Amino acid sequence: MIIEHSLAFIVISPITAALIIRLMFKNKYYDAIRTTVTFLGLLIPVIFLLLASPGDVIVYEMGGWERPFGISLILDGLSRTMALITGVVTLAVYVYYSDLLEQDPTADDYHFLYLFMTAGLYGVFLTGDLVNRFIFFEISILTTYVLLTFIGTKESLRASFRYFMLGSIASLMFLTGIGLTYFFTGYLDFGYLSGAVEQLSLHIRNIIFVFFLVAVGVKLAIIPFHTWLADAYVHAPTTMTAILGGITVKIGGYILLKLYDIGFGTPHIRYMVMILGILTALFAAVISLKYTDLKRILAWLTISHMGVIALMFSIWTPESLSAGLLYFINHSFYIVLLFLVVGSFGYIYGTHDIRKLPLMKTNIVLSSTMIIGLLALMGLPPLNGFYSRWYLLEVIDSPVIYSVVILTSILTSASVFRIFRLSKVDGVKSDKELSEGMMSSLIVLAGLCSFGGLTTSIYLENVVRPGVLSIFDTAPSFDLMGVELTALYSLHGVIFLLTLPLGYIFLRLFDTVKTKRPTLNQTLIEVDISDSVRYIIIILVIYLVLVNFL
Amino acid sequence: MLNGLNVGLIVIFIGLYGMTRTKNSLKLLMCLSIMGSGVILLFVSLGYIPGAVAPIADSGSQMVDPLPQSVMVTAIVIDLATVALGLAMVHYLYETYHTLNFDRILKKEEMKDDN
Repeated sequence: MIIEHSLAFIVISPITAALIIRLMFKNKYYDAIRTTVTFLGLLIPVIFLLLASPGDVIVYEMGGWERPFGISLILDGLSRTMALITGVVTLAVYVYYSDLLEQDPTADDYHFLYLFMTAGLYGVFLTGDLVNRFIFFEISILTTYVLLTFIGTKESLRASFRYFMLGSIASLMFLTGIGLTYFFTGYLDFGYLSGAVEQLSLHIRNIIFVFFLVAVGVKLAIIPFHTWLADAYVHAPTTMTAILGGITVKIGGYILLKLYDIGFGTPHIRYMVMILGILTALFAAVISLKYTDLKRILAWLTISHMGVIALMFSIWTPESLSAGLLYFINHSFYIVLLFLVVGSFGYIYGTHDIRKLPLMKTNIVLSSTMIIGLLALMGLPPLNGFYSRWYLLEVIDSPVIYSVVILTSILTSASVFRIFRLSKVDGVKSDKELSEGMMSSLIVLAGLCSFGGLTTSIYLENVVRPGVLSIFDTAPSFDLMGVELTALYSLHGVIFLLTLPLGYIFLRLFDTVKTKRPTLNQTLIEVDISDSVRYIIIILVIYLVLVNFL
Repeated sequence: MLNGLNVGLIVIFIGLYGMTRTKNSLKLLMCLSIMGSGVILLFVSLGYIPGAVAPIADSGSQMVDPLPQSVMVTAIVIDLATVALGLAMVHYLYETYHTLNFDRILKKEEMKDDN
């Protein structure tokens, strides 16, 4: 019976755990019970997700009300993948921070909000209609705003407020888009929408998508909607940076996929997102070469990768989608690892400045996981970053997009080489130690990065293929075992490997090692809220003009 | 044509325009609130049918579409939570920076960052 209702339990169990923590009386065993309950609340969804076999489509109607009238939860290949990433990342991040929480006076609120955020994230990925997606997204994002300020610094408050304003605009725009979709089609359920939206004229679809473009753009942080991201990442607590980079920005990509799936993928819209994706991928990678704050470098590289993901999704073929999904999954693991490692450096040495950190001469776990994370980000062969980049190049057939991906790879590797060059052998000293929880979650994530590379074919067959099949009728099939080896000496693999030394040459050639504040004018880097809104309006006007006259 | 749909859209864009014209955190929040009202007006107008009655079962005559209204009840609650959170944030922003001007808040930060 529990299996039958397992989908509901995935969303309910974190909420239940949160309420238990809030309503429990204080007693001698309070801390232990709190940790256990939270851990169970985060673990139960993962177990239920693993019990469902890949490729199955499970539909659960809440309260027995039938679609399209009731609320439904759907577990298909794509939402299962996303929910599993959510489960793994939220568990790893909780374990990472659990030891430190014992002395924290605000730990109660942290647990409560963290569990609600997790429930919201699961809900976003599993729900089967537009309005509930909006509601669950609001649950996850409102708790995120509060969690961002948990570190209690001035900067975190400012960063959180900026994110709050842009995120709320995006949410309201999303709601407007939902309203117009309902007005023209009469449905909110994805299953019924996909037929109904396709019958609308291209013109109406393009106009409605204006609102979705703002919503998706802010969530996915593509230029010019990216202004909140770097600040929020840098000033947030370590755990929240990892969650934001690992899952929250991915929601934008997931919603974009779903919107394309129900029929908003007209050529106009896809070209628009593609252009924005290309701009984002290149511009953000260049900006990352200007900073010395490690968290900020990683934040800009995240924006750049989100641009590549938007680009791959907008090509909209089964092959490009499978490459995009593999990139999506691998990016989650190594970016969460990197943010947690950087957070650990901040915890031990009290700074994120790369020039002061002893990157190689520190705790062996810390330095080795850092190197694994950076090499995965750059894309060195046995690690998962390489396979996702190689697969991108393998499936792209347009020369423009191919060169964009190559250029992004060069810039990314230049950025990573720069981190290695700037770091000192002897940096600041400290006698703080990593806790066991921190070390164990770092090791698990580093393991996922390295074994994720060696088991790429299993990933492709069991995770990516069902995801693609839940959207397209056909999906590329992969010969199990062997992708890992053949990738190394295939044409595109070799071309990609050549970009890594090119990154180093690029670094020496332009001498971007010099650490100034950004010389590029500040228009797109540090902007306040009203300017961000101005960019949004400008891009909307450009979009509407292009759509109406082309 | 002056109906709820168009007026709702206009109110949304008035809110958005207001955000470009002010640096004051509190006024930004007010603009957000205006946008929220616009969305609610738009949504409720979607299900409106001239001459129809409120959607209560067995009322006999033609009813307006109940779905947008039920969605809006949820959206109003979310809007309330959003504005409440925003006001709390503005309060703490003022306590820490002693100004509501977001531009000045950023400037204060940048001067510190340069060191």
